[in-house]
Amino acid sequence: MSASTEPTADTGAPLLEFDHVSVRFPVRSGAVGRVIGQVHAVDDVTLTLREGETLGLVGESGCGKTTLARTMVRLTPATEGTLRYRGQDVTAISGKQLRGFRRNVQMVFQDPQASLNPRKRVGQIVGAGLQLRKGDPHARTTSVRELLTQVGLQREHANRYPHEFSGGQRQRIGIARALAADPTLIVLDEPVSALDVSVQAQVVNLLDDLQDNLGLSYVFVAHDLSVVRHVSDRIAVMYLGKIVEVSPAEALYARPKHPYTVSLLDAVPIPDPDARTDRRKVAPGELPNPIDPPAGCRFHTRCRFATDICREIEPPLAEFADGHLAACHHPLNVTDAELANATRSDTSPKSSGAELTLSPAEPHAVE
Amino acid sequence: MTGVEQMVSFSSSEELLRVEHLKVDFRTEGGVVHAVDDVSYSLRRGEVLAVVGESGSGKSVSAMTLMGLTRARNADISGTATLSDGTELIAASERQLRRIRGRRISMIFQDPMSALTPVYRVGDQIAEQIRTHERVSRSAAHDRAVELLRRVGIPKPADRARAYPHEFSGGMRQRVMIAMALSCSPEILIADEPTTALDVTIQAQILNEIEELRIETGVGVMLITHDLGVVAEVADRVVVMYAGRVVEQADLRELFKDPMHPYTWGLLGSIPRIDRDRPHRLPTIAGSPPSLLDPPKGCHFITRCPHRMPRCTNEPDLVATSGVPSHLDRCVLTLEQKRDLRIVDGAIGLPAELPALPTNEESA
Repeated sequence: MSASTEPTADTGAPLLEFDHVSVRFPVRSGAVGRVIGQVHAVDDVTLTLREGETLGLVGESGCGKTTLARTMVRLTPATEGTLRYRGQDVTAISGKQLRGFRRNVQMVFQDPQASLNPRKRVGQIVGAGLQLRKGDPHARTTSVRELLTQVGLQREHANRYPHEFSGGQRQRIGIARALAADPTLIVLDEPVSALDVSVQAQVVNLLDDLQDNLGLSYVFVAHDLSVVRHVSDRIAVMYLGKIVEVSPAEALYARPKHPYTVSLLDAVPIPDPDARTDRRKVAPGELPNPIDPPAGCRFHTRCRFATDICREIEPPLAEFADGHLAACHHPLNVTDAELANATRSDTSPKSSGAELTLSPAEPHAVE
Repeated sequence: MTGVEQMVSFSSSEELLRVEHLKVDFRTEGGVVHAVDDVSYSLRRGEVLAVVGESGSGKSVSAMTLMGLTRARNADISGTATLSDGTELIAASERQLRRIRGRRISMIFQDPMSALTPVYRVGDQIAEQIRTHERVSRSAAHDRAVELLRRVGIPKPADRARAYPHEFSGGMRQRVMIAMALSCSPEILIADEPTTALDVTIQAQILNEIEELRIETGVGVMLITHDLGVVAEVADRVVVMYAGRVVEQADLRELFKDPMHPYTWGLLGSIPRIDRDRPHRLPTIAGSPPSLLDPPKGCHFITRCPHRMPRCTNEPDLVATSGVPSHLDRCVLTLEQKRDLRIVDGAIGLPAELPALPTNEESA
């Protein structure tokens, strides 16, 4: 994960590609379950994950990050668009092909309490992943023990039940289960959010070591921007089903371009009394209803820089230097030259404006 | 809200609550859990006192004990907790406590959904609390409930008072909890991880709300949290707890700028910082907290402390070593050692290597 030893975002071959992927859930009402609307959980997302890369996926609850993560492992089907793994279309595969795909792409869930079967021993839980591999049962037991040591547990833990472990240890079991299938990509859905800070850091460092040793790719889903910074090569910020900014990790912290990213950064409490944040700058209000999202830019209802164009035209993703993308009509932290040289990215949603209409941002109050 | 206008000025040093030698043990099948082990602190008017610790540190149990919420047949509680007028909470009868809860001390919880009744409208729930403690008419109580909802930033409060808890988002539900907690103008507000379940942007809004309230009403806030980032944002004083004991206690700036206990260094070091360069590895605290059934002899942090030595198997006292009388810590290192050892790679933290335990005890 350290920038020097890993392939940079540009060099790795595409591992997983989202091509205008949407996921919609029907909203039903009444006795006959008539469909009265749709939740646009993921709305026209185009994103590429490269070999060996860690992509951070960040946004508030309800922004669609978990749905997108579940789509990656084919737990939730895409309503529209194409998902490709190493160039091969995996949007609709099933049976043997799907099992083959899942051997390569594994998931670790947020709540280690809920995602481990309380009636199975750790050895059985981790061994289930090994069944995806071929091999004799004896080799499996040895492997379970090896996997447990690999994630910092002890070999004899294989005979215990999940409730005998602490939260951090349970999350290690979840990671061992994911590793059992010998994957190339692990999708981590808020893997440390439920853990105490000191344990959080242990698990993050473990993930770091595993990536160095096994050459894994990660997608790391998080609800704020503090932990992802330590694991990510690139970070994608989502708001109400849309990608609003994608950037190499450090550039996102140094020069965030989308006002939503800025308010997410401002909201992270800094553990230093001299740096008390100006909380008035944080985006007011809450996430709008995803059944009936605002027209134009979806963030305009909470944005200090919104103008008339933001209420009418959905901003396309503008591409700046170093592959930094932002879907905003009035991007922040840009020079006039950068504004002039920005191009419309091919990854922009189909419903967004056909032309870039960038102009400098001017703050004003949100009513 | 009548309380707001009445609170024009207050003396900032007035003590609202003094907790002394609080001990809470739970007898279980596996043995006695020493959840809170000789904890003392005080809360003053208009201040935010943060009680910090990880899961199992006893921070919530100590607060719930003040409200009489840990009383059970298998619980042994000793020590005192005295309010400003001399009322003692630990020995108080259940009847006395009922008059204190909600009126003099209010509490808000991490999960507002399970703290609100799902089958009553929120306005009625707030009005019920008002009418429990004060002789006011139904309609007057309802009007006050609406005013409280407006006060905590809920849009269209008259309409929203008629809504049920499930119709609110997590952040709005927490605002309802705060409105209810404030309904009888309490002296003390205990907030147990009030923002942990919320998004960062909503967390900032709620912290703002708590900040404004204590300035306007002079309520003393006891904020229980595991997040030192939140502490730095709103607290005036901090109590750090570990495995049932207070390990350090200081004014906010003292704690962050001149921390004395190795556990505090570890906590400060392991927070991912967005305001600093990204380190190659996140600093951690080795191991995990000890079982409260059988805590280690002497300093409870001994199983995880890289600076441990033979003397640590004797229990250290909570004393002022930094020279500031209000800054207490429970560690036997000298002041010079502390100021030297706490710097790891240019920042406060703990070194990664854990030396062998000074006794024959097993490492966790």
